[in-house]
Amino acid sequence: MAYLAGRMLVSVEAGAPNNGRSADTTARVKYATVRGRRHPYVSAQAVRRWIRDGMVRQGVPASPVTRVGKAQQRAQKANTDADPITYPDDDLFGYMRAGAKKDDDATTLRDSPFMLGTLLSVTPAHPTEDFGVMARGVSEPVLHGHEFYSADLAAPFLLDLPRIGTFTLPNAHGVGRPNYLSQEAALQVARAAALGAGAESFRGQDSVRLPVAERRRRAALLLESIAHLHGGAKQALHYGDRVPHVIVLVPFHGGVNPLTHVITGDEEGLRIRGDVLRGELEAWAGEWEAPVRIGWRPGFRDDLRERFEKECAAEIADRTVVIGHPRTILLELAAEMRDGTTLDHWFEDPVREPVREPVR
Amino acid sequence: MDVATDAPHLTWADVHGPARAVVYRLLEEHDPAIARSLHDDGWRGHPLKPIGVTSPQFKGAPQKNGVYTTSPHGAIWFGSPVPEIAAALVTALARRTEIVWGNARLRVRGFSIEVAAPAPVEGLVELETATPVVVRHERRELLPGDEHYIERLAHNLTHKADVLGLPAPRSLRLLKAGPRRRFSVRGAPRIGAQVRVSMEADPRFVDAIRSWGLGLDTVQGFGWIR
Repeated sequence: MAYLAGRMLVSVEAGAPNNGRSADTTARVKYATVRGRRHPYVSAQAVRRWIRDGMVRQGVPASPVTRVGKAQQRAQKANTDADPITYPDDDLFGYMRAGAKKDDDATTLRDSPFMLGTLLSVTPAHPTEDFGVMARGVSEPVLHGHEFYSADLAAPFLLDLPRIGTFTLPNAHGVGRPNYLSQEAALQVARAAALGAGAESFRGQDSVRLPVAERRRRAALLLESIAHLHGGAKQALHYGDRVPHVIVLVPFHGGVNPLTHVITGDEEGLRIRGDVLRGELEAWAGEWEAPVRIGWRPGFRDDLRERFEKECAAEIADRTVVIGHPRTILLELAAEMRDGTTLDHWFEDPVREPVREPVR
Repeated sequence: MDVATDAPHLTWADVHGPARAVVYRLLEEHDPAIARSLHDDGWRGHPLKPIGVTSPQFKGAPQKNGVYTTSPHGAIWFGSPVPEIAAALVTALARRTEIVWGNARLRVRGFSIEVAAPAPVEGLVELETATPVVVRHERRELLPGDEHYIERLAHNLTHKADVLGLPAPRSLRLLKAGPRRRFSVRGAPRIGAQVRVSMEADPRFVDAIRSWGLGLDTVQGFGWIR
């Protein structure tokens, strides 16, 4: 099936999970201006960090990060170990490690199989500035302030399942000179081979691929981490959990996300539209696999849920659409992946009929 | 692995002679246990050693009668269909900046890994070797065209398929043979010729022998498939 497309909604209630650069003594939240109005957002980088941290809490060591550059008075860089064979987070989140030009070091690069958009407020919201003083035991109070807001933030995401645990190799004919492997890369390939990785041709490139059991485990880890998501700034003052309030997941053939307009907003506020979902699924018939998994936290916008369930009554009845708690939906899907009997085909690219030449 | 050497030519004894020692030394550096058990007992109860290697091959080397000339564009291929052995070889090779090949010192210019993706379809495949293939029958070295040649080569392939737990190839045919070559390896002769063969085989098996080789003494640098 290849891709798991989705859209998640995180409802922030009086919070400031991602701050921008502060001005004077006031911490500002990040916002984007859309059609002249302010939409607070949480950057994708921040959410990816929360998910990464969630994986560490599950007992999976994260790739160590080293900061380079500042001491040497050069451009600052922070690199992970760039070892996707040992560290699932390097595998799932990708990296780029640029080698020093003068040393002629190789740049190693891995595209992230997990792609995530910005968690952007679906409706405009006006952050409130909270004015604060620190007056305890000092004669002259210290003034400080910060912004916070309440908003429903939505982001699309896409997980490229066949690419998890699949590492393409440079071919022998690099541009200009033979594309030799660095010692580091060669050792990684050796380690992968020792773990039972096999040779594959992946999307037209030679690659080594970890055994499917390990690849399933890594995909499941990511979903489990989203099921336990928390993190972000200002938790001491604005604690709030970040488990998605609504999450929609569709296994898809191609790297398309048809869910953009399913969770959206208009003048009246948040909208979660069953009719849009039905329309999209119809238009993409044959490109997706049932069921569409929807997680909806009980008590969150019951009015919208009632309407959504009415719009998709037929699909819910025949279980084309399944609704549950986001946590159970994610954990069940993760368990099904780990089990490996029913979803292993998701980890391979779908076989497509070759395109036929038009008959003249 | 791409190599370069200062020596203008290799002595004939150094073409195939050092191959086996180089391979075992490499393996030993990374994994002495594998090296020892492979050397003494073979692989998993079979006397065969699933390792392939070439003699150093030099691109654009000047032709000179009776001399194995070199060029700055040399290469040696190493391979094994067994992941553990392949991993040990890669690890050892990745750390090398030089390989001592008999009397010649080969400077390592670069290193790349070829992972041949499995052939998509089962059916007839053609394979051509880059080094001579050694086949024996009742202690006599055979050349392509000799009696029993195909039979012994097929027997060898079946044996290799057994070791790997894969179906044996069928309908092996000899399409083309190169001239007779004789090398002496520590005094003992190895006689063979490069060949081109066709067979019907499981794609996984074809893939495996591409990194192992045809015939006997693959660890000595014979029978490497181009």
